[in-house]
Amino acid sequence: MAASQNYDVIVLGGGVNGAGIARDCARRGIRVLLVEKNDLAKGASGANTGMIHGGIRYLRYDVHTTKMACTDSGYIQRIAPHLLFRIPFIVPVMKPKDAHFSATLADHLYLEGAEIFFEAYDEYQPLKRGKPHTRLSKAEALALEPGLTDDILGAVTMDEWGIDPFRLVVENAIDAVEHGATVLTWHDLVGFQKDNKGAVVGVDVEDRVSGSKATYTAGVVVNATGAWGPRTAALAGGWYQLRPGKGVHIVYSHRISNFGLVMTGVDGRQMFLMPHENGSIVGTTDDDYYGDLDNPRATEDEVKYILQAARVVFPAIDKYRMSRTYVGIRPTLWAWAKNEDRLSREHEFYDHAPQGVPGLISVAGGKLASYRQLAEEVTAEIAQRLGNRVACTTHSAPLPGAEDAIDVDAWTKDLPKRHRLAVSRMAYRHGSRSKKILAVVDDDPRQVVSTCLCEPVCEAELRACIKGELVRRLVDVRRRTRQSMGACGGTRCLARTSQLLLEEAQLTPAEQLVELQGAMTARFTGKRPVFEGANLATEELNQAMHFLGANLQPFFQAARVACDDVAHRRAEAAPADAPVTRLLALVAPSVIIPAPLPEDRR
Amino acid sequence: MSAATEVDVVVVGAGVAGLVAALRARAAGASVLVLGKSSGASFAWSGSVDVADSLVGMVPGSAVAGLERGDAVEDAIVQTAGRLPRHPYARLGAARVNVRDALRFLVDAVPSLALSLRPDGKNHVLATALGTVKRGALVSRSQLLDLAELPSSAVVGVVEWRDLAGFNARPVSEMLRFCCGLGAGHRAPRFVDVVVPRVNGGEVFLDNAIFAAALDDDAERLRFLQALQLRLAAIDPAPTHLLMPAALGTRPLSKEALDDVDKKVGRPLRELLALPPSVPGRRLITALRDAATAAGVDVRDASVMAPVIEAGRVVSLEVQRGPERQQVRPRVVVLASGRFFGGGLVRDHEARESLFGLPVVVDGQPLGDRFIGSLTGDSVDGDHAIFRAGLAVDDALAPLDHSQRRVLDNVVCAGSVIGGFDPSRDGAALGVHVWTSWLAGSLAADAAKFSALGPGGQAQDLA
Ligand SMILES: Cc1cc2nc3c(=O)[nH]c(=O)nc-3n(C[C@H](O)[C@H](O)[C@H](O)COP(=O)(O)OP(=O)(O)OC[C@H]3O[C@@H](n4cnc5c(N)ncnc54)[C@H](O)[C@@H]3O)c2cc1C
Ligand SMILES: Cc1cc2nc3c(=O)[nH]c(=O)nc-3n(C[C@H](O)[C@H](O)[C@H](O)COP(=O)(O)OP(=O)(O)OC[C@H]3O[C@@H](n4cnc5c(N)ncnc54)[C@H](O)[C@@H]3O)c2cc1C
Repeated sequence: MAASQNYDVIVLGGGVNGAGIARDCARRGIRVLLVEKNDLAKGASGANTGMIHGGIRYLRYDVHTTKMACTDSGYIQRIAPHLLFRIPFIVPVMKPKDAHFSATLADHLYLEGAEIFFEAYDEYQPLKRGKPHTRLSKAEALALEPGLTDDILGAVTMDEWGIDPFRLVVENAIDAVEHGATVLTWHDLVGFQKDNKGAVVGVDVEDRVSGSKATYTAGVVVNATGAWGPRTAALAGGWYQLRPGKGVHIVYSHRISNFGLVMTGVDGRQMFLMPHENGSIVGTTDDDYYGDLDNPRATEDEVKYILQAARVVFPAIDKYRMSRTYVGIRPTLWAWAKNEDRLSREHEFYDHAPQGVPGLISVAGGKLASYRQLAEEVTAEIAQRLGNRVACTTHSAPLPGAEDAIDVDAWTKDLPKRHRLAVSRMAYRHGSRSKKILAVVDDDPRQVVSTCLCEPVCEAELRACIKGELVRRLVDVRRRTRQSMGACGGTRCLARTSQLLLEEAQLTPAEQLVELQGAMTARFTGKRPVFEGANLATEELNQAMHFLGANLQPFFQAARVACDDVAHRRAEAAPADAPVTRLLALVAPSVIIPAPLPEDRR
Repeated sequence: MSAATEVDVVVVGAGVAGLVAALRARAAGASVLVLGKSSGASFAWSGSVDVADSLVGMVPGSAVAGLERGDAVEDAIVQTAGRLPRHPYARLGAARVNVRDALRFLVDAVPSLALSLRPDGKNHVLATALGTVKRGALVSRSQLLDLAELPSSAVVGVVEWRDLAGFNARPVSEMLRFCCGLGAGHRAPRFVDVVVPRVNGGEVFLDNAIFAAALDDDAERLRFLQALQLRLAAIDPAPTHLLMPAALGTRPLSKEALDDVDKKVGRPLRELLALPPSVPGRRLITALRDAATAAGVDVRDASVMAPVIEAGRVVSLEVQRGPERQQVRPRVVVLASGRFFGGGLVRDHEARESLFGLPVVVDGQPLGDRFIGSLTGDSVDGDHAIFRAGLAVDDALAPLDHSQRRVLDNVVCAGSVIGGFDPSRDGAALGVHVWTSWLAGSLAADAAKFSALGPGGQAQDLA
C-alpha cells in the first residue's frame, strides 16, 4: 500500500449524487474524498433523458415526487442557469381507437381529460419557472410541428427544462475540488478497511491508469454507486436491494422536431421525442435489468421498439438519420411486483449498522432533478455525525461558470463570424469561465477553430478541459465537451483530440493510441445498433480513415502490448464488486429518515 | 444530351473506379458517358495505392515492425488470394496477372501526379498524417518520402504552420518515433519539430484544403517557403528531409515546381499521407476527369436512377441533374457506384445495391436483413464482416444473385462495389479497385461491340 490519507468522509461513485454530496460536504468544510471507478457521469447520470423535469409521469401515482422534483429543479436553475434550456412539449391527444359511441362526444371527453391532468401539473410549474399549459387545436398543433401525425384530436403544451447532465456532474465535482475536496476518477475500489469491531473505516483503491494502490480512511463512507450500490455494499458485508432498470435512447444528431413530443410505447409506457442540445433524442425503454452493469448494450430490437412508438405520433421520424444509441441503468428503489414504469423515483438512504457494518451509508434511487436535495439530506446526516453545524449553500451558491455574466457578443467581437457558434456552445457549457478559455486565442488563433464539424467544439475548449476539468482519459473529454457526440461520431475529431491529450496530459504515443482505441470503441458501441443508412456509410469512412489511410490497427496492437508491460490503462473496470446473492441477509439495513429541509428558502 | 441518348457504355459513378473504367473502355473504342455525383470514397483517399501487403494478417502485436516493407507486391497478391478465398484476387484468379498492367494504365493516365512504383517491386513505407507509417505500392511524387530508405543519420523535420489549424508537429513526430522504432533498432531516422511562425496577419487556414488553395498561388507559396527556410536555420539538429500536411497546392506540383520547392528550403519537402478533407483525393479525381475528357469521354455530374429492365437487360436509365431529367439508352452499363460511403450499397431495413436492387453478399451469404451484431466485432478495430459486403460477380464481372446466376446481362461491375474483402483490413484497397475497373472497361467495350457480355469464362482472355 503506497499512500494513506485521512478524510472525514469518503464518497464512492461519481454520478450526480456522489458529486452532489461531495460538493455539499466540501462547502461545509468537511474533508471529503470522492472515488469513481470510471469517469464522472459514466453511469446513469450520463445516460438519462437529461430533463430537469417535474416528473409529470409520476403525477398520477406519486405527487410527492413531482413536487420535490419541481422545487429542486428551481434551485438547479438558480445555481446553473447556463446549463439549462427550455423544452416546450406538445402532448398530442390521439383519436381513441375504440370509440363506439358518438365520436364527437368521445373526442371532447378525451381533450377535457387531458386538460384536467395538465391543470394539476400547472400547480407545480412556478416552482421551476415553468409556464402553464395551453390547449392547441389540431390545426395549430400541425402548424407548430409539421412532422406530427394528423391522427390527433388536438394537443396540450407542457413546459419542461433540459440540461447537459455531464456538465452538471462535472461542475459539481469541480466546485467540490475548489472547496478542498479530492476527486479520484478511474480508481477501482479494491476493498473496505474495517476496524476490529467490523466498522467500515476506509477504502483500498487502485488507480486504473497508473496501477498504483492506496488506502484512505474516514469516519463515514457513503456508497453512492447507483445501480452498482448493492454490489458495493456487499463488498463490505452490507446488503440492500434495488430494481435496476435499463433505459435506451436513440440520438439524432440534428433537430428533427421543433418541440418535445410525448408518445406511448406498444406496452402503454410513456416516452419522449425531444430536442436535446444540438440534436434530438428519443426514448426511453425501461426494463428490469440483470446483465453486466459495466457493459450494458443497446440492441436493434430496442431501437425498433422506440421507433415503433415514435412513428405513431411522428411519422416523419423514418426520414431522419439516427446517429447512435446510449444506455443507462436506473438505480430504482426496490419494490415487489410493480410494473417497471410505476416504480418510485424517490430516494432512500440506508445505514448498514444493523447488519454489523456501521460506518457505511448507502444511497438508493434518486433523480437528476432532485440530486441536490438528496445530497443535502445525506450531507445533513454526515454533518450531524461529525458535529459539523455549517449551513448548506448548494441551493444558492453558483456552480462553476455561473458566477458572472455571459457575453458571447463581446467575446466574439474580434473573431471571424464563423466561430461564433463554437463560442456560444462553449458559453453554454462553461458559462462565464469561457472568457478565460478564450484568452489563449489572442496568441494562437488556431485554437478558436472547431475540431469537430458536427458538434462545434474549439481547440481552446478541449485544451482547457483536459487541463482543468478532471480529465484523465480520452473518453472523459466527450462527456465534458460533447465532442464526438455529433453526426460523425468522432470520425473527424477523436484522433485529433488524442493528440491534444498527448500534448496537454503528457502521454506517450503508445498511451495516446490506447486512449484513441478505447474512445473509438466506446463510440462504436453506441453507433452499432443504428448502423444503417448514412450512419453506416459514415462508419465505412471512419474505418477507412483510421485503418486504411492512417493504418492504425497494427499500432493499436503494438501500443496495447507496450502499455500492458507496465500493467496500466485498463479499459475494463476490475470486477471489485462482490456478487450479490439474492436475499442472503435476513437483517435489513435501517432506513435513515432525513431531517426535513427548510421550506421556501431563497 | 438529347432525349434518350444512345451510348455504348454508361458508367455509373465518377470515383476512381468509374473514371478508370471509362478511360479503358474509351481506349478500346467505345463511346462512353460517365454519370456521377461528386462525393464518395475516392475524394477521401490518402494518397497511397494499396495493392497487396505480405505483412498484413501475419504480424501480431509486438512483432509490428514499422519500417519493414515485406515481400514484392506481386508475391503479396498471391498470398492475399491464398489467405482470403473470397477476395477478387482469388475469385478472378486468372486475371490476377494483369494487376501490373492495370496499375501502369493508371500511372500513364495521370502523368501529372507522377505516381511511382518502387523498382524492386516492393511497397513504399510512408508517413501518415497521424505519424503512423503504412505501406503502399504507388504514391505520387509530392508524397514520396520512403522512411525505410533513409539512412539512420537522416533527420526528418515535421513542419507545423502556425497559420494552419488542426495540425501540431509534436504529436506526429512522437508517433513517428514510436512507430518507426518498433522493431527497427538503430535504422530509424530522427524526427524533429519545425514550428513555423505566422506568415499571414489575418485569419488562419481552417484545414488543409483551404491552405492548399492558398499555396496554389506562386507568390504566396514563396512567402510560406521563405518563412520555413528562416525557421530551419534555428533547428538543431538540422533536418535533412521535411514532411508537412498534404497541402502543397490543390493541383499536383510539376517536377520543376517541386524541385524548386526543395531548392527554396534546401532539402526535400514532402507531404504526409492525408486524412479527409483530402487534397490528394481531389488531385487524383481531377486528373482522371481531365484525362477522360481529353480522351473524348463525356463526364457529367448527375445522379442515375429508375432503370428500365427488359429481358434481363438494362435498356434505359434516368439521369437527374438539378431539376433536369433525361433518359439514356446504354448498350452496356458499368456499375462503379462504390460501397456504403459512395452510395452504391444501402442498408436500412434490408441491404441492397442502390440502383438495380441487386443482392448484397457478405462472406458468401446474402446480407438481407441480418442482425448487425453478427456482422460487426466488439471493438472499433475488430473484424467487421459488414465492411466486406458488396456484389458477387462472375469472371466477366457481371453481378450474380444468391444462386450464382447472372442477374443482368449488360451490367459490368467495377471498383469497390464488388465485395469479398475489407479494404481497411486486408492490405489491398485502391489497387484492387483500379484493377477491377480496368478489367471492367475492357469487358464493357467488348460487350458493347458484340452486344453481349462474354460467357463468364476466363476474365483473363477478355481483358
Ligand atoms: C434512461 C434513463 C433516463 C433518465 N431520465 C431522467 C430524467 O430525465 N430526469 C431525471 O431527473 N432523472 C432521470 N433519470 C434518473 C437519473 O439519471 C439517475 O437516477 C441518477 O443519475 C442516479 O445518479 P447516481 O449518482 O445515483 O448513479 P450513477 O450516475 O449511476 O452513478 C454511480 C457511479 O458509481 C460508479 N461506481 C460503481 N461502482 C463503483 C465502485 N465500486 N467504486 C467507485 N465507483 C463506482 C459508477 O461508475 C457510476 O459513475 C434517468 C435514468 C435513466 C437510466
Ligand atoms: C478516408 C479514406 C482513406 C483511404 N486511403 C486509402 C489508402 O491509403 N490506400 C488505398 O489503396 N485506398 C485508400 N482508400 C480507398 C479508396 O480511396 C477507395 O476504395 C476508392 O476510391 C473507391 O473508389 P470507387 O470509385 O470504387 O468508389 P467511390 O469513390 O465511392 O465512387 C462511387 C461513386 O459513385 C457515385 N454514385 C453512386 N450511386 C450513384 C448513382 N445512382 N448515380 C450517380 N452516381 C452514383 C458516388 O457519388 C461516387 O462518386 C481510402 C478511402 C478513404 C475513404
